[in-house]
Amino acid sequence: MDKQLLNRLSALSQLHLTVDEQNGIASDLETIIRFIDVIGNVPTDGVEPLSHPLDSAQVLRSDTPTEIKDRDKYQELSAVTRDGHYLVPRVIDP
Amino acid sequence: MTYESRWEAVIGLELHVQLNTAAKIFSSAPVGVGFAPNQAASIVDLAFPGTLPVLNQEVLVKAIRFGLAITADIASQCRFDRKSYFYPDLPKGYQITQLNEPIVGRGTLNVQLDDGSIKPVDITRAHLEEDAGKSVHDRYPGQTAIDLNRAGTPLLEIVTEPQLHSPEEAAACFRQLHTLVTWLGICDGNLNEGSMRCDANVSVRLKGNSKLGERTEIKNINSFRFVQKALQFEIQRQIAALERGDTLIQETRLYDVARDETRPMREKEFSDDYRYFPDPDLLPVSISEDLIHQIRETMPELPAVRRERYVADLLLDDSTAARLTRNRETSDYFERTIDRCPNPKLAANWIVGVVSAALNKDILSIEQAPVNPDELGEILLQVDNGSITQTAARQVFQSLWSNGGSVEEALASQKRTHNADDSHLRTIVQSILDSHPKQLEQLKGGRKKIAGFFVGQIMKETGGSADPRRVNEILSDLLLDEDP
Amino acid sequence: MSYQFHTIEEFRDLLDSRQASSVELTKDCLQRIRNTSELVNCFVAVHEERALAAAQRADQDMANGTTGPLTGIPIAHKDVFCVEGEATTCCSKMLASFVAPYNATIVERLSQAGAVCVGKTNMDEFAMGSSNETSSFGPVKNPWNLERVPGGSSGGSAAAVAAGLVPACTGSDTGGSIRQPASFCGVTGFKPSYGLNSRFGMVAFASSLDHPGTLTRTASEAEIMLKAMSGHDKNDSTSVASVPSQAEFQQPRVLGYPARLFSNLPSAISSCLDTAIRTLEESGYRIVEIDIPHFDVAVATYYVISCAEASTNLSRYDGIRYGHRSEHRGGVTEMFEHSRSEGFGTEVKRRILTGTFVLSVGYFDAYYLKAQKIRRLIRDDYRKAFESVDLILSPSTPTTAFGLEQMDRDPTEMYRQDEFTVPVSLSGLPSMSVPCGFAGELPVGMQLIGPHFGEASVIALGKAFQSITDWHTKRPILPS
Ligand SMILES: [Mg+2]
Ligand SMILES: [Zn+2]
Repeated sequence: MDKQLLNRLSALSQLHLTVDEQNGIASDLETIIRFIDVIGNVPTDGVEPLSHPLDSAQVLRSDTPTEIKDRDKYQELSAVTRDGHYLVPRVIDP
Repeated sequence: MTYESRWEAVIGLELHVQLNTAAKIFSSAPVGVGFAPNQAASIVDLAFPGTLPVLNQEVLVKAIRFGLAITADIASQCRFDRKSYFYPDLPKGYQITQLNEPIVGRGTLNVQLDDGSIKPVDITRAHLEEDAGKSVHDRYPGQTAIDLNRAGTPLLEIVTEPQLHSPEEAAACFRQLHTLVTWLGICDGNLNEGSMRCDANVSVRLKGNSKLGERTEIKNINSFRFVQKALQFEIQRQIAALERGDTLIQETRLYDVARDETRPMREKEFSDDYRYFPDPDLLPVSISEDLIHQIRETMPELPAVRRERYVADLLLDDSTAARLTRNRETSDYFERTIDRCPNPKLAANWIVGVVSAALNKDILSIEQAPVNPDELGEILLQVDNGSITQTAARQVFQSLWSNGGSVEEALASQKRTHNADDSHLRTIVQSILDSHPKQLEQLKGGRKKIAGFFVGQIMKETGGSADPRRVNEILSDLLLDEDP
Repeated sequence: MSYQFHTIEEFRDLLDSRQASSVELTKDCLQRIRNTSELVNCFVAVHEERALAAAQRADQDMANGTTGPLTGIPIAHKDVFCVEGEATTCCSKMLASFVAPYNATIVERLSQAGAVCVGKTNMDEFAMGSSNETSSFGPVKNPWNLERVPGGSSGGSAAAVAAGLVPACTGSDTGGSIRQPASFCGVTGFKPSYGLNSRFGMVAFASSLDHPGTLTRTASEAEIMLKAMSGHDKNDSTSVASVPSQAEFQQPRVLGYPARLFSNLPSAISSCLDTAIRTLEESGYRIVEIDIPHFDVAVATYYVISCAEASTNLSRYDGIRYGHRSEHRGGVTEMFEHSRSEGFGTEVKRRILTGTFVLSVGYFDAYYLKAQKIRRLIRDDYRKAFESVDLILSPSTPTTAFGLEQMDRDPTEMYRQDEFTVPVSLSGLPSMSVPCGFAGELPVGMQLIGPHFGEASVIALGKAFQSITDWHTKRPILPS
């Protein structure tokens, strides 16, 4: 687990790791990757990937809208809102 | 530029089309504009912990309608994937989209170019996905405001093959897709509100070269004209760079409307690694032959088919047929008009002429036209069977357009004024005959040519408003009367 | 009168015979929770007023004669389930201030069935862990030995039932999070088939593996809970519309045992299993040797898939709409990064990073895709096995409850705790852990595994086993 890979993973995961954390997590990840590497030994030629234990088809919803009545209740859960908007630090370049 | 002819542009489009369902793609929140901020965002759209997506069946129907319209393969099973990236208006931190198993496969779109010719463009695929929310950057100083009303609006992303070779062709393709999706009733087509957004991939190569050049992607253009202008700029920029010997890089660019130029978007490091994988909250969706069959039964006659029929069967000229089929409302208006008045040429000319001018003048769309197609048909029927003149028909149309009322009444009142006009005209003719006894003698004596003199005098007297045919009729009437 | 250690059926009798009211039972239950909370730390929130109001309603319903099997019975929910108007934290700093604006389907159904929710139980942060030590509320202690862990992630629920505080708790099981703590605490843990219980309102860890379920003292209570909880939910696409009709239910007779897989089991555990199997054999069950060929790689496969799903399920915690938001100054990226880093604990971060790794460019095929293929092989192994047996037996865990802080050096050592439970999870099969003996003072659990939607068989065997053994009736003695 080199620095570059860890940086890439933490940037993709939007996690800010302190220098201390970086060392600990780098070695943990090495251990974990070694642990999961055993799957490489299993022959899987011609095996279809399975992404779900269920075979059945899903039930769909009908195209019926319902009114949203609880915006203010939802927004009480947010740290910063104004006039019904959620606020974040200015995104410079959209 | 002189070197332009050596180069060829290669353009492919990706269109994000908002489907006009009532509810969102994975939640029951309403779709649309005009809500207060976040007032159309449900707990699912807000990605509250524990919430789950459930697919709205209507999006399948709309996507399949599009697929059938471009004679594409409809997948018997499609699947949804997660596309991960962080952005404040993407509440889950991933977008639900379709990567490997889109609902609509390969198809063909017949694009009508400006010169009237048809260019078939292959559609690579069309897939379903959810729209993101909106970030408002200029409302509060130092902060970006997030409105998630748009989050979860169903999108059909349509991808064309890179088979377009000029900004004009690209714009025509965009326009054709606009015509088609609104025709099918799957999108409201409202470009100003972002109902259709276009991304254009463009590269240039020396003519005769089969290898594609390095391409750039221009994001999020929402008008036909801007697609054309953005591509014009971008193609010139790429050619100029290559002529200078520069190398181009693959990048995403934005079109700046105010400056009429494209410029690179700043992208975050690693942001191109979207880590797609099948969304485990959603199972694969099976699409039955039965469903496809049902949808096929409800498909309208498509614009290209109608256009051809208008030319082949109704004997309209190409450009009139094209104008009538640019949108479904106009075409349906025409269809209903000719149901009443079986003279397609007359109806077509009126619709692209009189009706269209009246709509433009009052800034109305054809569904808002004060004269409906049955009424227009009734008026034109009178013209067609010779009961009234075109001029009179225009007067009836105009009166109905401005004052309303029933078409029967308007026609009747036109006939009354016509009759009133007739007796007025008789008086004028009589007085002119009376005041030119010498010429009248000659006429009675058989000098037919002198009739022209009288007609001229009468036209002069009426300021040219009289129908010359009618003048002749009255003239001969009165001459008969004069004979004992 | 204390009603500690009463089962749902015993409570039912008391209520139906009017020997006690639901309000009385609930008050007694709340008192017990207060008395033991410091000792065991199994509750993270007590909903006193709400519970008493619900109990009153239940008493009213009973007076009106409109009752179901759960009317007036106190239960508790794992803190992974949304209870409207109450904190739902997943025992994470990230959600410390999150008050759920809606009810999980299961919470709603149990409430509709008249159950009285007395509070929320402790768990590993975001259900990631096997010891209940990653909770932001501190570790839960095992009622059988307060120096030991209760297992996890549903450690609070298992300990609450083991300590006799409530007869039943909800739990969630992704890789073993119900069955492993049930085994460690000597209670009955039941994870039904994937698709039977709705996941709506259960905070997601790994969507294709998350199973809501229960912790109770007995299999028969698990059955009562399941009946109230299960069934199609239109808010969960993975909730089955109807259970595929099975052939007429028959009492299970043939039990498979993959002995090869358990050769390294500590003798104290294997002797419990051997005795349990012999007991079943003596009561007429036929034991058949079977094999699950891809069993050994199941844990690694599970970690690839569960981390991949988790890494994206946890992307929604960005500090904007709810959850922890960092005070750190800077742009939006800093806001995201610091909020997430401050809000998530170490184990959660490890799993997010692992999940990001297995999905990212260059690693996807070798890890994520490969794991999905092996997932099919494992599922097919079970399908094949169920062609010749009705149910499969297995130990629930490779060890008994271990000491607090004993496993904090190598994260993968903890992952191995799940080695007997994850293959079942990957296949989405119903599975129950029932107490089957003791290794010293510590309980040992046996897993009963059924084919997909074979819950009736699993419950039937659980009940049968508990009718011929009394391990499930053993009670820990807590210092008062
Ligand atoms: Mg795109
Ligand atoms: Zn898209």
